[in-house]
Amino acid sequence: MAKEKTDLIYGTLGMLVLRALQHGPRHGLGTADRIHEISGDALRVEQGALYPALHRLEAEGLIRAEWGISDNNRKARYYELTAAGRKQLVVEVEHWQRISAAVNIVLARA
Amino acid sequence: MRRFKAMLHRWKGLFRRRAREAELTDELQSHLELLTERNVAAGMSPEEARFAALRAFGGVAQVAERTRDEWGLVWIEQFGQDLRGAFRMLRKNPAFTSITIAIIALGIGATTSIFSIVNSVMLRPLPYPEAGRLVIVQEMYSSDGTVSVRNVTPGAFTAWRKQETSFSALASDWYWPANVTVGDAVTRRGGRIVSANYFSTYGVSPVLGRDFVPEEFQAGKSDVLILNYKLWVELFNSDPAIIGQRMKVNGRTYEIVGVLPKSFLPDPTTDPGLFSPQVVDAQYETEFRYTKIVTALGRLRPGVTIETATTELNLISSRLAQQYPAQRKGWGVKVTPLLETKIGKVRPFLYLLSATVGLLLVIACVNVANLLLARASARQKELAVRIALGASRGRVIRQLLVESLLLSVIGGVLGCVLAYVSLDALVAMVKLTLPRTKEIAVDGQVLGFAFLLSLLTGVGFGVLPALRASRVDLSDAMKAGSRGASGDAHGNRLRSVLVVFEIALALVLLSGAGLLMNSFIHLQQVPVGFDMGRTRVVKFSLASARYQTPEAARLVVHQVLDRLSVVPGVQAIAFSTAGPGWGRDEAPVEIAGRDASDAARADGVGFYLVTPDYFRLMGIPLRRGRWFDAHDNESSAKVAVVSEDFVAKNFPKGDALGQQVRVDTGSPDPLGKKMQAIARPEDYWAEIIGIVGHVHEAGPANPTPFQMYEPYDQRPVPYANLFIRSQGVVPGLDRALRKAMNQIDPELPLPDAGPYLMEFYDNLIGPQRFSLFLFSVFSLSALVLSAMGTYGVVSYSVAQRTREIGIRVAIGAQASDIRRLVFTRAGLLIGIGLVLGVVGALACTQLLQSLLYEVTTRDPLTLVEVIVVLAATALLACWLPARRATKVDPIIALRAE
Repeated sequence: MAKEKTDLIYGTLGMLVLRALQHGPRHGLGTADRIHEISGDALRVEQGALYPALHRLEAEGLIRAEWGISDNNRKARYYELTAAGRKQLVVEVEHWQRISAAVNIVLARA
Repeated sequence: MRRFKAMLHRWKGLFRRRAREAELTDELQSHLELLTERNVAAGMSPEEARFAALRAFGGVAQVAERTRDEWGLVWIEQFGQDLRGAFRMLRKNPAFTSITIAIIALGIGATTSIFSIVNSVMLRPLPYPEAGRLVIVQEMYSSDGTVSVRNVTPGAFTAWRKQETSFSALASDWYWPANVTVGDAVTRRGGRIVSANYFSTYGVSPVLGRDFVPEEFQAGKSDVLILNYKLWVELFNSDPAIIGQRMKVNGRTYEIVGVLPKSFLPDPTTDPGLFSPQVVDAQYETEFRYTKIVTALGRLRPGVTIETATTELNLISSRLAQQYPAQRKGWGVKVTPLLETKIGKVRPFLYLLSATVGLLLVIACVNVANLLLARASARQKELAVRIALGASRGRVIRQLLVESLLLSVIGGVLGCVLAYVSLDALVAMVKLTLPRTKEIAVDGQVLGFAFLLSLLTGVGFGVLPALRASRVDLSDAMKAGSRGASGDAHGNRLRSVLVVFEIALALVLLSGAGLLMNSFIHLQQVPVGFDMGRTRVVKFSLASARYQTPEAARLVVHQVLDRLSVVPGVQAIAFSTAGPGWGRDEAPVEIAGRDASDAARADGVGFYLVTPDYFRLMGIPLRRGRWFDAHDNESSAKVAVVSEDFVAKNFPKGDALGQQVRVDTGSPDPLGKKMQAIARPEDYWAEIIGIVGHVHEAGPANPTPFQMYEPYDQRPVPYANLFIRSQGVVPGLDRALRKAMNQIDPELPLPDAGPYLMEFYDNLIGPQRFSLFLFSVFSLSALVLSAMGTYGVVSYSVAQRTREIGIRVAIGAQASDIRRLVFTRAGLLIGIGLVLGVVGALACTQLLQSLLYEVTTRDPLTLVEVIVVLAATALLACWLPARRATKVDPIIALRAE
């Protein structure tokens, strides 16, 4: 388990999870799939990093969880965005765009 | 708000733990199953699918753990785990635990005890409101390079009071020997005659009754008293109806108007029990004689510094000198903070004490660190497994630190108990050496300090072993045999370094103790100028009205001398107003024909009024002239005897006999109202008729120059001390003495067991004795601890090298060779430690110089003795491991891992 890699995108992972849940509740595996899908197969989230992120977001009140039945009749825990989560997503996206723009400038100049 | 909600969520997480853990397991399982199914759908076999799912997921346990981390307050839970683990570890190793805790308890206990002393005596402000502004003002005379500091004459005090602006209050007091009659009992008490604002300057007011009022400071109205708390309890049983009652003091009747609070202890040594107003009149205000001096206490105005106040008072003094040049020329002032006057002299001693106990604590910590290192080596395997299972290094370090903190906190608690229990004994030992001993207590501040100390020591001795232990090489640890002593060469090197350090520190402490011991022995051998023999001292007070005239006093003194000297067993008997070992009545002396403001005037003599046999009783040698005899009485010429050093200074040509000298002690009260005035000042000129040997009144360590004696008959006073010298132990002596006294007057006090002169005098070397005691205890502990440390390191080293020893024996080494092997290595360690220790000792023992008497800190003999003792002890500690080494069976050694 390469700890460093996950650390780098830990903050952004939360943002990605929120994004993935934007259009409806999903369980853990489903969330990972969605991120993979939206990124056009570019981002593959480590399954093991996902759950800590999910539970952290739940602890912060940005998503809520409920047990449900999955497509193939399995019990699974589904996560859904809360109102606070929706607001936070907007904030984080904006923040990310600002930061990444700045980083790009630095990299371009150097 | 979001952070707050998160926090709340985490706190809740602590409680619903089990349920949530079960849920999490389910969730992760369901994820895995979904993945597995997907893989199956993609064409893998069920087992392949499962493995692939597991691989893609990563370690389930770890994921679960990290997810759980997001729930509760991790550090509290982890701390709880660590604590439980630590308790378990300690319980499983009772020997290690008890030794370690014992050492810590001793170290912290000793430090806490000393700190409680230092805190109460030196650090805490005096128990008066804004005590930082209280100062003592004294007169200071400087000329020709001699500086003399005295308490204050009433005239100067009055002048300052009238003209100063620096003080919000200026008050005075002087010593009042009071014979108190309650019912039939008469006891001698200390008292004070005080100025009008005395109590308010301190900032205290009576808890019963009232303070003095201005009218009471006038002649005729001043027969009132304020009692201190202790006297009220003792003599009146805390009777609440005390106000208005009357009491007889020195034969006069006084009315009690107030009782002071329990906490007011301006001078615990003399413990004044009664206070009476100072009558101020014209004579008082122009009184410049040095026999009437008072102690001046001032409270500086806010913002006024001591320098400012000194300058102002000096100015006033110089104006006074212009007015009264004969008496005042050359006298200025000295202003000292009140706290400083009490603790100034003992401050170096207290610093030394702190440093010494600190050293001992360091040695204890080093020892404990050593023990922990040893334990850590033995736990290599356990820790390796832990790390392999995924514990981070930080976590392991944290856990080990919790263990050491637990040890040190338990040790600290025990140490506090130890300090508390031994506090009374400790205070009893320092009572005569230190001021403010009544304030010494193990209080909140001290306990807080002890707690902090425990934490510090826990981290201090725990961090090194923790760092070492966590740096475990997994493969090495796993390979190690079950002996536990796996190839930990590095570990033992560290421990060896620690032991070297320990030995060095122990040497420093031991050399300190050795020097103090030497100094103490020297002190006891100093010739004190008199022979203590078997001399009892009885404080005598002629309080009843019967003895208030000079004639009556003389008569009863003679009666006592006559009656008691024939009691069998009494070798000699005499009266004296003072004696070596407890205070001296100091008085300035004038020599006829010399300038009144001569330097001799600024010097004082120890003044004694004695009966003729005093010199013989005390064994004071006569150098020239003669002692007093029966002919020197009230109707003959006034005579005096002086000590030889007084003669050497003032009559260098050796013509002292026949000269006239005057000591004007009079009585403390210039108007003679509180005590019978004896004679007019002009009558005090006396002729020197004898020169005697000098007496060390204040102990061998404090040279007090100049004594002067005059016959009691010529100046009878209502108080004196009865000296009774007996030949060895005489059974029934006390009864016989009491019987004789009763025949004269049953009311005369004669405590049945008066203390021996020896006891008084011994107290004078109290500070040195206490230092010696403490140093001895500390250095002995250090010696034991370093022996333990040496033993530990050497036996460990032997155990490590079992194989090597086995090989040597197998190829023909003898027992003596093996022994030599062990001792050589150990000897190297010890040698380095000793060298370092010598350097340290030479550097540090300088600090002891102030406590040493006629011994230099570079005394080579002491150092050599100490080195020998320490080396011998350390080598002895090696003996057992060496013996064990020789018993190594090569076959077993070579076979085992």
